[in-house]
Amino acid sequence: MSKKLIFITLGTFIATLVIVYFAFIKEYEPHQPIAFSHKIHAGVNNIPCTYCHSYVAKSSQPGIPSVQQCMGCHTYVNAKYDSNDPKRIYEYNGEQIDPNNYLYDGRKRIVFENEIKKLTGYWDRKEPIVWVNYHYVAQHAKFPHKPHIRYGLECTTCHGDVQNIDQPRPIRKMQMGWCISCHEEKLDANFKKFAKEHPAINELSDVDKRIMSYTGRIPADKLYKNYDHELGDKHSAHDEKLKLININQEVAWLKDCGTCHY
Amino acid sequence: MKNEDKKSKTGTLNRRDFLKALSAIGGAAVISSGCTPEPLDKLVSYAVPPDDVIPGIANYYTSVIPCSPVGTPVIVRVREGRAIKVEGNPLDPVTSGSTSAEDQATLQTLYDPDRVKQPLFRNNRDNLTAITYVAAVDILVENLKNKPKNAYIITNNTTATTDKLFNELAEKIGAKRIKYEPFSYENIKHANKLTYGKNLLPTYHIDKADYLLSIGADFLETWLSPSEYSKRFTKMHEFDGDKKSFFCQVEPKMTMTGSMADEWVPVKPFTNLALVLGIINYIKSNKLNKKPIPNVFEDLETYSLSRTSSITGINEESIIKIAKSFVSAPSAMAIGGGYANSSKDDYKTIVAINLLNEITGNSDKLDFDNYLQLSNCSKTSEITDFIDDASKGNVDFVFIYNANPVYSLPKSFNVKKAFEKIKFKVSGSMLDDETSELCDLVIPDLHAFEKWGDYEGKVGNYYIMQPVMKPLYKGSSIEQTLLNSLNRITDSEDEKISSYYAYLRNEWKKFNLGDSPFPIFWNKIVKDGGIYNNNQKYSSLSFNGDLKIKSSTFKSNTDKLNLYITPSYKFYDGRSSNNSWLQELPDLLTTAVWDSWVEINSKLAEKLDIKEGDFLEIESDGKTIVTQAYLTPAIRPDTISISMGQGHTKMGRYAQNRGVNPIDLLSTDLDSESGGLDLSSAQVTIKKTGNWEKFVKVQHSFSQENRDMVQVIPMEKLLHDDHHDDHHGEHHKEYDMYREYDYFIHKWGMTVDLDKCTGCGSCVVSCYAENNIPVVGKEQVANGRHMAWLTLERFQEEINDELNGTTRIDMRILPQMCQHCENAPCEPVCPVFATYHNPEGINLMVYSRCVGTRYCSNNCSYKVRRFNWFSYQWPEPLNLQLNPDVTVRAKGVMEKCNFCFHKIGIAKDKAKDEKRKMNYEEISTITACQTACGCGAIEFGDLNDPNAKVTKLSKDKRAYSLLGELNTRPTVTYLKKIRREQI
Repeated sequence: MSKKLIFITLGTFIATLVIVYFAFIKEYEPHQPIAFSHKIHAGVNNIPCTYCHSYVAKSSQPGIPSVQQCMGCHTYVNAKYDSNDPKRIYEYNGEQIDPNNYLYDGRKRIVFENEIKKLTGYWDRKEPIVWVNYHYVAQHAKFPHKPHIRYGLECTTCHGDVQNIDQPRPIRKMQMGWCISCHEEKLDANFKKFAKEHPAINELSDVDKRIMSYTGRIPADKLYKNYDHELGDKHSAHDEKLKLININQEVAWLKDCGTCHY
Repeated sequence: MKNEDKKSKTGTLNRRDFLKALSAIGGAAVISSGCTPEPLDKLVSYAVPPDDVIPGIANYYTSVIPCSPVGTPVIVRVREGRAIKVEGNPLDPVTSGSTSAEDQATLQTLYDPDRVKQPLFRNNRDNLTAITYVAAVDILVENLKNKPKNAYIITNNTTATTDKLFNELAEKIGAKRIKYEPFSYENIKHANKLTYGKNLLPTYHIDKADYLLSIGADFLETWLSPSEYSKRFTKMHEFDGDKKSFFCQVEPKMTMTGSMADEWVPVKPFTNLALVLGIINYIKSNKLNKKPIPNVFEDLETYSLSRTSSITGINEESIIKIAKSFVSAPSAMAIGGGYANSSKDDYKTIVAINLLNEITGNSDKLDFDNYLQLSNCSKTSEITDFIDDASKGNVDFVFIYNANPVYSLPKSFNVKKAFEKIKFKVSGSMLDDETSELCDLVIPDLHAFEKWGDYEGKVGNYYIMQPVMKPLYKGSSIEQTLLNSLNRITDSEDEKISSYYAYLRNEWKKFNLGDSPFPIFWNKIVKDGGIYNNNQKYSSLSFNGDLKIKSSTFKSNTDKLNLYITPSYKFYDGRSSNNSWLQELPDLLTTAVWDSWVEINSKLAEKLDIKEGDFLEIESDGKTIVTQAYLTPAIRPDTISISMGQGHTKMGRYAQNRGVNPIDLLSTDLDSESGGLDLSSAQVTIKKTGNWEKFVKVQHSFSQENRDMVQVIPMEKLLHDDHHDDHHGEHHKEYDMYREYDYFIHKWGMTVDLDKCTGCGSCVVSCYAENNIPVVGKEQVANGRHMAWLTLERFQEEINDELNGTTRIDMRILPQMCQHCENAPCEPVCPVFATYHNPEGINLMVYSRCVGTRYCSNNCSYKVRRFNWFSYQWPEPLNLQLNPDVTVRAKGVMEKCNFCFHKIGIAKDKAKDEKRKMNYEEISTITACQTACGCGAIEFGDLNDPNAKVTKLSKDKRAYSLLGELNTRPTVTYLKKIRREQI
């Protein structure tokens, strides 16, 4: 093969990659209808996440605020500033924020007033805002927000440092390995706590231990030698078994396929 | 070399190099396509959020379905403003929370893709064209203002405020009002008028009877109020530890109700009068009566056993057995069917049945205080009078609402021609049916779930029809349209109420008898679903002893066959036919789908050389229909039977051009006394057309092949014998190589009481609605690709009835879903672990993992796994019904019952929020099949809880596992059917 051909081939290869990148992948940078800044809301103005995403502790979906809810504040907050007024510029974390000339997401300059005008436009037309969703879990996995909030997870654990980013990107790819790593940590912690209360666990074989830490459950007869299935409920080990259940009931679900995929 | 130089100079590529470069582009495209993120979804915010909607959480609203003849109060589950599931309202004393298959399927009527989307108008006798609602009301008002001469207003069984508005309009324009229901039971009403002076349809307290004799009443399917009678029947027929009532069904062809009978007696069609009189005569001559016998039937003595036997075709001994059992039972009851007793003068049968109840002291179970509003329907003779009038060209104006006489009256009436002669015809129907098609103006009504309204099923039970979602299409309810037009044609100066909601509230003020202000009262009843009449007391009756009736003559035996038309428990008279769930719900007795068939006795068919699937031409008086033959021993050899509901020429994609309408065979004969249609008027001949096609049914063999899947235990054995001697359905522990499993928290399990299941199919449709099960259509069912997760398997054993010389079948129904085996055969064969056992004992499917090898289905002992051969489509707007909690499965994925896994999650989540354990109410409403079952045959719960009902039932004497000898250890337990041979 001649040198030229290699050049052509490589050239086309790279050119295609570049074209595809600009044509499709770059699109991943979502172009929202309004340059909404999480940093200004959650950071500068210190609004709690649940003020707008109000269903997060009630429902599987966090909820996106309605236009009406936005207007609840923005009827009064219109960011009208005289461009010559130096007082309009304020400081946040050492950064000068100018409502009339704000570098949004490090890529474009916006004027707050104009963005709020877009919002009032939607409100006047009573038109829903169509945002671009780029923070999603694949459709074949069911991710409910509610139990995670109930457990006490912070929003920032998955969504990143929202207070300091205009347009937060997923801090990690929201894929199964990432979900599982967290669940495994919890399983491990549970197992250690469990082992403290049930010293019998230390006499288990390594394989059984691994099965247990992995699945969060173990047949009662393995843990308690005197546990007899035939005797069932009447047996003294039954109480111990119940104890096992109480400690472990969260755990069994953590790595069960059906928890997220059904 | 020279060549190559030349090439590089000119810069051209040869073919080979070009391909190399091309492959580089391809490679780059493949690499980059792998990196391209999934297409971005849109997140749409509300502009103004609804008050009570939290995305992701279901809301529940009460409402009522007015479709079936008595109406079913329901609780509708709504997700993000879309009704997705219907459940019965347990507060209602009539249905007590049960729903029929038809009720469950009403969602598909709501989202019917063939609904009339906006008003239509026929200008200058052209085709119907779409107009705006305002223009439509203008046209209607203009026509009403002209004071049309000889106007008619025809509706179905409208009640309460809707009825009041129709009456008001009729009064205003001087129109005649007809409430037309194809089954309005004129014979029963007329007989009750004669015997008790009450022209009403009473409540029959069959639950109080120890012996129930049903003369053709299909009370589990369509008769009067099937949801109610299913409940009452279960109460009567269930085994309560030491006693179980006896049920005898007399009918020419086995129906679903007949399949539940302890004794099934095939009678010659429309000779029921002779049978009842024969029984009365036997009681009289043997002095078995408890009360004096009034001399109602002058020729009673002529009904000797031998004559009765020759007329009815029932053996004398059988008649004696029925008579003796009826008299000896502590509390017996006889009921008579509507269409089974609708030949000419057949009201006399009901009179005779009333007499039989009276002389044996059993008329105390007839309750005329709680009568059905259906009693107020017009006689069929009134609508035929209208048709006479119209065909003479005398009718100027007709308003027709939810009635479809063009379809449901025999063709011999020429309803279509009569309709065409009417000057102006308005239809208020939601569906473009045969009658709407002929109308000049169609103002479509809204579905009951989209409008305010009310409904009175049984007298005193007023249900509120509450809109549970915004209307799918722009428009107004029929009540609003009526109110608008009434306001515009009334000249009075009084203040007019312009909104129907305000009008309705105004009407309901009369019910507020307490001290609470009306808004509080209103909120309470809307929450409850209505006002219920819980008063079960009723007054005793006095029999009109002065009544004198002469029994009728019976048709002599001819070589022609009797035609026995049965209403369908799925489509009723055909009003629910454009419903894909109901079309795909296999008929219980034939398991046929999507079509009509004619039932023929197998012996007769053998004689005539007819095979299953042969197209037969059925002819009566020059009128013919052609349909496929279905062979069964459970029909008399002198009778053929066709079910109603199919044979629409218009209505929508699922109904039209499918099957036949047997009503077309009837003549214009009416019963002159009661005014009902004579269903016995067709004597038919059958002829093979020579065409054959595979008869599409879900189940191909009804034989159990000695596997004893549906087990039966004789009553005597159950009472006196604790010992089990059959080995089917037992787990062989000695051959089991698997260890016991532990379920630490819950072990979900189910029991199905085969003695209670009537096979109504409500659970099947409920499962379709809950789990987004696709409808596959007739062709795919023929290929064995039916997708139902829960099927009613049906087995039969032929029993030669030596008494009557006929063959009858012992029908056994098996509701079969995934058995959730502990040693599931499907699990180890899956190469990708897509199916596995979860820690709570449920055999789950991980759809996203499934690669579609179908090994699991091959290895399943119960054949309950369903494979998605295609990506099935839901034509818009049927897709709006899809349950967002359940994955819509794509092509190439296996699926099956998962015990409504998503609902377990929801119930658990709620309990966790409130830091408590799940209670019985929550657990018992998890599975869609259990909530839908009106008979209480299905019980779901936690087998780890020793006090749970399901645990107790699974250890019952009657409990067995399906094919338990395979050691699959199913979590679903069946309770044996109880057989009673003697009373």
